[in-house]
Amino acid sequence: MTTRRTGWIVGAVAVALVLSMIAPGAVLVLAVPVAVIWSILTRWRPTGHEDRDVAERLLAAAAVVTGERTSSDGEQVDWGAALRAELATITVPRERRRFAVGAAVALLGRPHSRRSLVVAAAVAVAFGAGLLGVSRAGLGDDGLGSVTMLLPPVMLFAIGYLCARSTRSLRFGLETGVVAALTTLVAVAVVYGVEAAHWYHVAPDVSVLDGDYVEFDSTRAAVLDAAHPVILLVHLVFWSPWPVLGAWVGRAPRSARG
Amino acid sequence: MRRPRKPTPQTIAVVLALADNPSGWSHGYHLCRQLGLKAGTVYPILMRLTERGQVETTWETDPPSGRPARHLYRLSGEGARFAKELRAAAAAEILRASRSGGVIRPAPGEAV
Repeated sequence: MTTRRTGWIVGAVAVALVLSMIAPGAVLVLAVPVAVIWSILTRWRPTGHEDRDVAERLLAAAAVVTGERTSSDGEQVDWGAALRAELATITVPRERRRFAVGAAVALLGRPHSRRSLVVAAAVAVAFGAGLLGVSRAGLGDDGLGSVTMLLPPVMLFAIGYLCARSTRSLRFGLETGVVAALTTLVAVAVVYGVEAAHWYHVAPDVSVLDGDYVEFDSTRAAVLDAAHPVILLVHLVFWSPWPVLGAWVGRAPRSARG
Repeated sequence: MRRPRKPTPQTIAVVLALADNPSGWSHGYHLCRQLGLKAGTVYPILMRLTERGQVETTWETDPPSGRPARHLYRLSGEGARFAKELRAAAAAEILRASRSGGVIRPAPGEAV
């Protein structure tokens, strides 16, 4: 094990220990998927070619992420396999690296489809509407923080999993899951803003985040407290591993078949 | 209704290179070298043309041992019509330029 790698592991353990003392729930939500993803990535090796060079590894990784494309007549075109076969004919190392970089860019460079955006937008609207309903029903109770922290990871995992599984494309699962995380964050920000203003007028000095007593001197202060960029960033950090993990798990059976 | 985009010089070069080899199949890497373009340019074009049905693909049937079968490309009937349109447009542009005394810059890979 290299010194640098040991340093990373020690650092990660130290951060996890500090976090576990501050917020054990945070460690569970954030660290578990990160650890699983890390474990998958470090253990995963494409079968059959353990002695690959950098060019082949790069292209193999891009091919796994992108999955297959479909031509106009509905035929599956495995562009990853096509590019890897082409790379196999190139013998000059420098030329191999150049080709692999260009081919990886070609595989990764284009959006899979507009379906990702449609799904992500639908998820955000549904979650935003549900959150609004929960807020109005639970006014003055525990706030919305627990809902927005704990429910989206499950939802985003499911989206990543289902999208990757249904299309057999890790890329589609990743794209849809990540875009859904971003659109959901926008929905959360909007609902927090609207509800902070609403709560301020109906039940002043109650935080929309956790229902605790907080003294606000204006609607603007209440809104800024709830929809604060740091609060939103923390949400995004907590959510982000889950769509990745879901997409990977959804894609896994096909990888296992090779 | 969406208007078709004007093809880029690189797309035109790829289509015309494939059109110059109407009976046989071409390799992607060979096209890159022939046109002096990078894989990151040629392959997205091939992917797009394939998705539009303008390029047909197949796999090499009898690859040498120790190497996987390569992916081969050629223009479909629709692609051949597209190449014909591109040639006609290029010819019209050259004619127009020659009448006005202008200069036409060749597309990448195109003989001057």
